[in-house]
Amino acid sequence: MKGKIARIVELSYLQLVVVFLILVLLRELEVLDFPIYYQYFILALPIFALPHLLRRDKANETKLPGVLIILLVIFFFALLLRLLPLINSSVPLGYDPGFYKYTMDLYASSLPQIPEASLATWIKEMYPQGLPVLTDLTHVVAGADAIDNIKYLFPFLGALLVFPVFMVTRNIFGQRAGIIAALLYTVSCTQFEVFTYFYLKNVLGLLFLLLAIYALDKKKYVLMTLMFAALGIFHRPEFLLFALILVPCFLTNRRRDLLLAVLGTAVLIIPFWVTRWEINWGVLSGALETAMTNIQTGGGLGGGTFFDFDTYTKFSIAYLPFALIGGIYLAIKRNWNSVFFFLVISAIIVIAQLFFFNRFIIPLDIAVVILATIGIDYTLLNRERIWRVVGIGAGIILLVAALIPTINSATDAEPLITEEQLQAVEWIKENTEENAYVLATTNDAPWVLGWSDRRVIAPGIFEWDLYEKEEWDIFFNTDDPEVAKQFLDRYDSPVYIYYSINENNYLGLEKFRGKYFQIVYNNGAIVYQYREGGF
Amino acid sequence: MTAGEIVRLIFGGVFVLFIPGLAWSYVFFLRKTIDWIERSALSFGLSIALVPLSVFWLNWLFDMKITLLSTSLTVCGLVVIAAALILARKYGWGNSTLNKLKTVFSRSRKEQEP
Repeated sequence: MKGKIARIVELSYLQLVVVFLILVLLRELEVLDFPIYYQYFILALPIFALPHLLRRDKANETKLPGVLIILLVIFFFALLLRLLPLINSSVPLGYDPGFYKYTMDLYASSLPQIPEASLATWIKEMYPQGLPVLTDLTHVVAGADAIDNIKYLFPFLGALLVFPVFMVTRNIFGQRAGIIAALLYTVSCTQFEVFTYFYLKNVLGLLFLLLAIYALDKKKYVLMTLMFAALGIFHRPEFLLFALILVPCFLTNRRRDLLLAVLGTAVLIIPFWVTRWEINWGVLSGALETAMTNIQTGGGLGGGTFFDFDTYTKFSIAYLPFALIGGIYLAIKRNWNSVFFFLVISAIIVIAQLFFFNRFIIPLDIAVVILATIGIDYTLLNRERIWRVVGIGAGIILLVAALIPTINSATDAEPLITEEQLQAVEWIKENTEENAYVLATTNDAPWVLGWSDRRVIAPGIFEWDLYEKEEWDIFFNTDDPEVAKQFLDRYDSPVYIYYSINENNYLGLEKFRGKYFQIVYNNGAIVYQYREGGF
Repeated sequence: MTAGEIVRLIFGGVFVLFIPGLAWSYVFFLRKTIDWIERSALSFGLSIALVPLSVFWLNWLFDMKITLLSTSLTVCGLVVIAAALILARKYGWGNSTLNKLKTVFSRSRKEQEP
């Protein structure tokens, strides 16, 4: 009787999976969207998968021929997806390229030295030394400038992650699971959005995080030490995440090697952290303080710029239930491995909204992708006869359903400013005094900073901002040229004003109609010149 | 971009971002213990980790300037160290030295015993 019930639930699971995936596919294709809360399936499917999970020990491992070729195809597909938005425009995607370009250019212009002492605080806070030092090295050896790194290195690294995702998954769950993980990573809309937001440090962080997990599982502690140290000098949030993963790993296996590896990492990152001790400590203690405040108040503070968890569940709905199934499977088998801790810790940070929780969706998605492969492999593909065909069909629908929002994102992705507007910024570089300031809105500021080679005055961002928020509000809202003049007179060098004509960009141009201002460029963007005595 | 610049970009990129890691991947994993997929990914990861770490350490300790020569020497140094470690393991240099030390130590202790 018990067996019969289990069999009925098991078969219902497959049918439910097929119905769920077809519904998701139809919704993604915008053919049919039922007014149901799809997220309920995230909980429902694992319950129906339980009898199958309890019965099965391990998936039957079949070695796939030509794995390297399959992976290369996946890699090139991931690369193609990331190059697709660059076909129509040479302007990089996202808000951050200007910050990256400015920092890389600043480091390159300081060669042969590393400009630690003269760096502005915001650069030290935003960029640990690893990335700019690396770009310095590619600059002196390969002749690569910031634009080369932005245009070629970033998409390449994004696509390269296919391999570590495969390695970590194969190492723990087998080759077939590894291939599924590589495929899921490629079709993941979240991972593609990382590219459209231009989170280069995040991508490098993921590379080191995955290789550190790989080394941890292989018990290669020296290799793990190097990867952990690399996290410390390239991306602090993922450094913290891996440190948190190591805690339960140590508690479960009590290996002295882990402590030595942590000690080794601390030694390796000494010169990087000693020179910025106050800033790094401030970042870490700030994260802890935010977490405490969010726990006490119910949260929402300091999530970082990325979409929220609700949006994430919408993007990843096709494979999210299978990650939960994978997690439950590991819990049933008491297989407390590093990927399990990776999922649990990043999920706690994101769902409990502790700190930087929107940005932690990026590593969470990687953990979800890896664990979803067990759900897919063990409950869909590892079946016999007709049910195997059904499982494979469901797997294909899942991939297509996950791919559609990614393709839409790749084809719709547009830079935040146009080529004409970027040309206007470059015009400033060529036609204004070298000591000039350029005033810009928060939207335009990173582009002006990165491409104009001039000091940029923008609200609350760079070291040249002399005003408080209230004073900026007055400046933005006034129509009076005298008020604008008074505001700009605090700067003793020539001042220009850059404004790109975009939706959501507001500067209030009426105040620049007086005798002190003159339009010197007007094509997609307006550049005003300010003269204290008037024109 | 001229053809020369493209060639420099490709070869320079491989020199900094792949070669040192490739050498070090053999330190951590002997031949045939991992496949080419793992070795390639490790080579990129290790290079991107090791080269900036080494250069920054050298700059911090010895005020080494970042030039084409110093960077090339650092990369070559990393490869040579990896090669030395691989050879030491292959020919058991480390082990034999360790064994000799152990023998000397145990002999001197025996001589001291009454």
